[in-house]
Formats: sequence, structure tokens, C-alpha cells
Amino acid sequence: MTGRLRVWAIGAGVVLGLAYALSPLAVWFAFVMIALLWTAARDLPADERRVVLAVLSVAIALRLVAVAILFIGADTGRMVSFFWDGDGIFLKKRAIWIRNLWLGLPLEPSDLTYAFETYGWTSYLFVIAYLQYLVGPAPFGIHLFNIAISLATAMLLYRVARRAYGSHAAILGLATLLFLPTPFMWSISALKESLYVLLEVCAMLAAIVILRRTSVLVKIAALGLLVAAVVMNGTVRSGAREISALAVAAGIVGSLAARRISLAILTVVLVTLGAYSGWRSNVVSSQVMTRLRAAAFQHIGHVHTEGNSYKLLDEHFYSQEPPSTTAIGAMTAREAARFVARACLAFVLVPLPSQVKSAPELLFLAQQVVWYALVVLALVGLAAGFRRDAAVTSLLMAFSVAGGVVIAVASGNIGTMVRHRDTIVPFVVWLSALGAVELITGVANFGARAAARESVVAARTPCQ
Amino acid sequence: VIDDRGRLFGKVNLIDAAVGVFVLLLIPLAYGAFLLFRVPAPTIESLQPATVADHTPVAMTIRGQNLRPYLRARVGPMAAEFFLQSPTLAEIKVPALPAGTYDLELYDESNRILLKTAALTVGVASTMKLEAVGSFVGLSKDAAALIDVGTRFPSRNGSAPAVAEVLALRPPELAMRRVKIGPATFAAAAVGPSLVPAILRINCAVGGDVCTLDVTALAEGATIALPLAAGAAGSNGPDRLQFVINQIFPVGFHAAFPAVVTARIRFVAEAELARMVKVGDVDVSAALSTDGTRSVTLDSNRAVLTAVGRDTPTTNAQIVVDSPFRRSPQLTSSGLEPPAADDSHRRGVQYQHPMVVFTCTVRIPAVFTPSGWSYNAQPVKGGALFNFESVSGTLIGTILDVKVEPENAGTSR
Repeated sequence: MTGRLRVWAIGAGVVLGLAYALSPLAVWFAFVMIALLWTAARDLPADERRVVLAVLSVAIALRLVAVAILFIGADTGRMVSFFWDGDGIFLKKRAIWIRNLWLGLPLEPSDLTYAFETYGWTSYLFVIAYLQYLVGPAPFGIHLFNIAISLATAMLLYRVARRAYGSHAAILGLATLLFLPTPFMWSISALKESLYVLLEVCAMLAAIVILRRTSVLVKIAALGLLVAAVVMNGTVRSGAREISALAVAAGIVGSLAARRISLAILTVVLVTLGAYSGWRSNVVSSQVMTRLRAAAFQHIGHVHTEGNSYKLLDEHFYSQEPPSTTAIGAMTAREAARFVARACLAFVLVPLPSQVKSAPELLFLAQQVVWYALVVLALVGLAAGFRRDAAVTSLLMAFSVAGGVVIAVASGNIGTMVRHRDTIVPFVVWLSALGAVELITGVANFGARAAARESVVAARTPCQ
Repeated sequence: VIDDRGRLFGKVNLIDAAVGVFVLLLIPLAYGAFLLFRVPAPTIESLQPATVADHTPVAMTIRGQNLRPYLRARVGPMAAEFFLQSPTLAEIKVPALPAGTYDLELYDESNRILLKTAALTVGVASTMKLEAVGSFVGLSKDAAALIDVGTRFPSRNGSAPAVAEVLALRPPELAMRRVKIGPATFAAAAVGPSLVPAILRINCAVGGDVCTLDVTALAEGATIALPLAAGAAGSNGPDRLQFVINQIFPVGFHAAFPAVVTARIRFVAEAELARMVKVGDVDVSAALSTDGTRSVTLDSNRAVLTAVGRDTPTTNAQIVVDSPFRRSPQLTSSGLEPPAADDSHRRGVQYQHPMVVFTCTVRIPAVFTPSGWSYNAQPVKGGALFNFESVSGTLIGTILDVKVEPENAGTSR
């Protein structure tokens, strides 16, 4: 080792040690970001690499600035988070209490009770508690952890989308996902949404591997990853296991059906028949109605809770305040069908300008317009996606629809619904980006063809 | 200074030097940031008062350094409210605690940030001896056998005087339980563990304006837990007994069990009313108390006429009675309704026409109070007025004499 190298190595070690002493998670975050940038840019052409690295670097920098502002403006000695992250403060407190319990540190007795109370329980608490068990209390490091998770999710989806839809759609999707305001806000929060989406993406990637790879060993490993991701996600959020399993199943069936038009028609017929015969069966219909009644009950709870809410059921269901379930218990199949239809419509349209009640919601309207555009473009992208990569498109659509329907019927508060809706945005944006690229390409091709026709006509016209 | 190869003083590359200087600058910058954003740990220099009396809430003043808002305090097992005045001065509201030495802990929102051991000494306050009439409850047959006159219940630390001693005892009785039927509550014999009526002498700690045993303020209706001597009940027996206080007296009032007394009462009434009186009439005024509780007691707890004397007519007697008078409960559609406030039922009676005087013997279940025997809040003593309300009429008389039946006075003290 040369003398200069030795000096640099020592200097780097000292700086790293100091930084690690101040904030271990910040150092780990730096390493992870380096790995993430390297992975994202691997094998890319130079031009595309520059764009991707720029997009990711700006995304990282903006998020770090937000966390730094939070850190500098924090009330010393208090657990703080962003103003939209009230639940995150409680999650951070609970994680510290659990970590203290594991380390045998003294706990205020009421903290012990609150740490493990069932309300708001998620295994994400164990994750951030264990993180702090390893590196010490890190109330701001948890935000870095979530940033790393959300960026890794975006990067993984970018790589999938690039292979499936090409670089233009992938870069557009990546930029949209990283800079849309509300997904940006959730990515820097201390909430569980980032981990939930990452596990969904892991399940999706595993399904893609199962569909594409020929090696049995790889397929078995992917199946293991798929099962682990689905099971783990069920502990992160209630209902996540059902959403992921349903989405993977529907995605795989869809990708297989899309291989031939005859298979697609057969699948549609079989699914329709299956749904009809299932509905005729008392066992299935009673199960469906029970779940819909539970969702409706949850929806009514949202409506009767303080906040900006919206209604999905027939009006008479709101006359009884929770916990009365008499009216919901008597909900008929027709009423349930109207409820589901309204829920799906509201999931896409809410908040409408007429539903805005506060200044933050007014600001949000700008993003709502972008959301409408994303939905429309996703429909365009869906058709193009099935032509280009049926498996990826089918899975992206399945995760969007499965997550969307479950969220739609159980929601009733605009803020909460938007937050939950943003968990399907990571799947929708790639279809939307593909749709946008297809439209732009189509317009450009149309212009080029028109210009070509004109030039042909001009060439055939004799000179005057 | 910089040669043609870009080296500073011919030794270090200029860019390397710049990076090195930047790194060196980072160190004080990082240290400065550390000092700026580090939350200094609070320290405690003094606590006032450091010694307090037991079972007495107190405000403690904390002087120290780096005290800050949103801290939470605990003194021993109890949470204490924390009020910050300045980074060097705070106050905590310490709740009532039994005697002992307690640590003070300060928590921020997630961690314990300070522990001061033996921060507060809670001393035994002045004690007081009281006599309580009541019953041991929830006793099994084996547990009932542990109690005898003279049984002492030791203090926790063993060296202090016994917390209680049995002065008198009655044989075990079937426990009574209250049964709610409609709006009324009936007393009924309960199947199960028996109760043992007893009179105890209790050493309690005076704290504030109450006297407490452990953490229970002694009062009528209170249930106290009395620790048994180690091994007294065997390995499977209870380690403490429950005692419900019915009455409580300072020592010197010679508390006694409820007893049945026989009183001769001279009633004055209209002749028509006197003719309605017969042996066996039961006083129903005790069926409903006037404090709003609707408790219907058993016959054994009511006064009963056991003998009715001959009428003695009086002529032009002038009898003035002005006494609290109990009305019977009203039976309404919702059941028995209690009478309204006493004052609205005071009765002033002034008769100027012929009446009869007759003397009756009444068997009265009475309780002993600091002012003597009492029945249904009426004194049972010679010369006292006595209201007797049967289902057919009401009588007012004067008690001539009272005799306590010795077999009902309980075990000797």
C-alpha cells in the first residue's frame, strides 16, 4: 500500500467512524444508496444511465433535505415527524419501547401496554424496533430506512418496466413515481406503507420469475420468495395477504390467458361461469356478503368519524351510528352491488372539487388531476402492455385492481383513502407511462406518415 | 507553492490537499453539530421535601440542570405529574404513598433518562386506634377457624405493632346478599362462604383528613384486607382476610355488636287508632331508608310489638308532637318509591280532644352508636320519641325504659 493510499484509508476510516458514531443508519443508508444507484444504472447505455442516475440522485437529495429540515426544526427531546405523519410518531414511539424491552431497559408501565396494544398493530413495528436494537435509537434514521425501501421499490419496478416496456416508459414511470407529491410524502414518513409496497413488489417479481425462468430450482426459489413475501405482508397490514395472493393468482392467469386469443376467450368464459355458479352457491355468496358487510361497517365507521368523508351506501345505512350493525346485517345483494360499484367509482374520482373542504385538499387537487391522467393513460398502456409483455402487464394490472377494490370498499375518509390509494400508484404508473409513450409515439408516427404522404404527393406533382 | 504537476509545496496534490482540508473541517463541523443537536441529560441537584408523611400527597420541588418539558415522572410504583418552571426548576405532584423509600425516575417520550435512587422517604405518620364493628366476609370454614378473640393481624414489616386485633366475635352467620328486584333491593341469605361478625381494634395511619390501613381509608362500608401471620393458614390457605366495616368508633366508645333490645314505649293516639294496634305488628318504616337507597330489610331487622297494654283514656289532653316523620314507601307502577326529603314530612300535631294512652313492649334490633343504641336513625333510650309505623297505622310514643338482651350482646370483649 502506498503512503498516499494509506493516508486516504486512515482518513476515510476516521470520517466513517465519526459518522457512524453520530448516525449509524445514515452510514448504512449511504452504502445502500450507492448499491442502489449502481444496480439501477447497471448495463444501461450511457445516455440512459445519466438520466436514471440524475433522477435517482435528485430523488434521494430531495428526500434527505426533507429529513434534514425535520431534524433541524425538531423540538429537542420530543418524538417528531412530518405534519402528515401523525401515526408515524406513534409507530416510532412504540418501536423504541419494544426495543427497550428487548434490551431490558426500564420502561414506563403505560408504555409497555401501549407498545403491544392491538390497535394499529403491525409487524413493521418489529422491523423498526429490531433496526434500533442493532444500531441504537434512530428516530430520524427510520425515515432514512423508509426512503431506502421506497427507492429500492421504485428501482426494482424500473428494471422490470424497462425490460418489459422499454427505456422511455421506464424512465417516465420512475420519475412520476419518485416525484408525485403524495407518494413522495409517504416515502419520507415513518409509516408502514413503504414496506407493504416493497413486499408486494417482491411477490410480483417472484411471480414474473416463475413465469419466465425455465430452471426448476430458480422457480422453486422464486416460489419460496413469493410465499414469504405474501405471508410477511399479511403481518404488516391486515388484508395484505389476501390482496397479494389474489393479485398474483389473477396476474399469472391473465398472463397465461393473454398468450392466445382463444385462451383469453376461454378464460373470460370460465371466470364468468365460475363467478355465476359461485354466487348461486350459498357458501360462496354468504362468504362474499359477510365480507362486504364487514367492509361496509368499516366504511360507516369512517363516515361517522371526524374528518372529510364520503358516502358509498344507500342513505338509510347511515342513520344508525356504529357499533350498531342491524342495518348492515340486513344489507341485500343489490344494495351490496351498488355499494361496490360506487366504491370503485369513488376510488378513482374522490376527491372531486366539490368535496374539498380545506386548503391542503385544495392543493391536492393538482395531483388529483395528474391521477385522473394516470388512470386514463393506464388504460391506453394496458392495451399496449399486453402486446409487449403480457406477464408484467397482467401482474401490474392485477395488483392495481386487487388492491384498489379492497381499499375502495373499506374506505370512507378522503385523506385515508388517498393514502391507501397511493399504495397502488407504484403499479399503475408504469402502465400510465407506457400509455403516454404510446400516445406520443403514435402522434409522432402519424405526423411522420402525414409528412411522408405529403412528400410523395409533392414528388408526383409535375413542376409548374 | 504549486509546481507544474499541481503539487502543493512539491509534496501533495492540490485536489488531494483540498479534500483533506475539507475532511479536517468536517470534524469540528460534526462536533459542533453534535453539541448543537445533542439533548443534554437532565441532572437533579436537590429534591424538596425529601421526606414526607405516608398517605399524604405532596408537591416536590426539583432543582437541577437541563430539565425540559414533556418529561414524565414516576415515584416508586406511581406516576407523578411533572411541571416544568425552568431548565433548573420543576415540580412533581407525588401521590399518596405508604411508608417506605422510593426512587424517582424521569422518562422522556420513549426512554428513562434519569434515575435517582432513594429520592423520597415516606415516613409513618401519626397513628390512631379505632374500633370497628363489622364482619369477616368470604370465609371458608377453615379460614373462619383462624379467627378468635385476641387474634392479631401483623403489620407488613413485622416489627411494627399489629394492624388489627379481634376484640369480640360472634358465631359465623350466613352471609347476606343484596338482591335487586325491580327498583328495590332486598336482603337475602346467601349460600356460600359465611361471615363472622367481629369487633376489631385497628391501628390506622392518619394521612390528610382520613385514617388509612394500607391504602384503604377507614369508613363505614369500606373493606379492608388484614394480613394473617406467616404460616397461620398453611400453605394453601389465604394470606389475608377481608373485613367489611359496618360501624367505626374511636377507642373509648365501647363499640358493641348490633343487639335486640326490649323497650317499653308509651304511645298516645286516638282511640280508633289504638284499637288497630295488636301484638305482632311490625315496624315497616325501616323498609325504605330516606337517603334514596331502596333496601327492604328482613323482619329480623325490624321492630316488632310484643305486648300491648290497656288503654288509659285521657280527657282534653293537649299533645304536641313535632318530629321527623317517615312516610311509607309509595308503591307506583315502577315499584317502591322512596319518600321525599324529611323536612317536607315533618308533622306538627296538636290535639285538644280525647285520646288514649297505652304502653307497649317493642322488640327492637338496635345498633350501638357513639350516642347510644339506635334504631333506624332514632335513639333508643329512655325519654326519646319513637315512631312506629305498621302497615295499618302510625304511632308516636315515648320510650320509658330499655333492656338489652344479654344473649344478643355478643362474645365478651
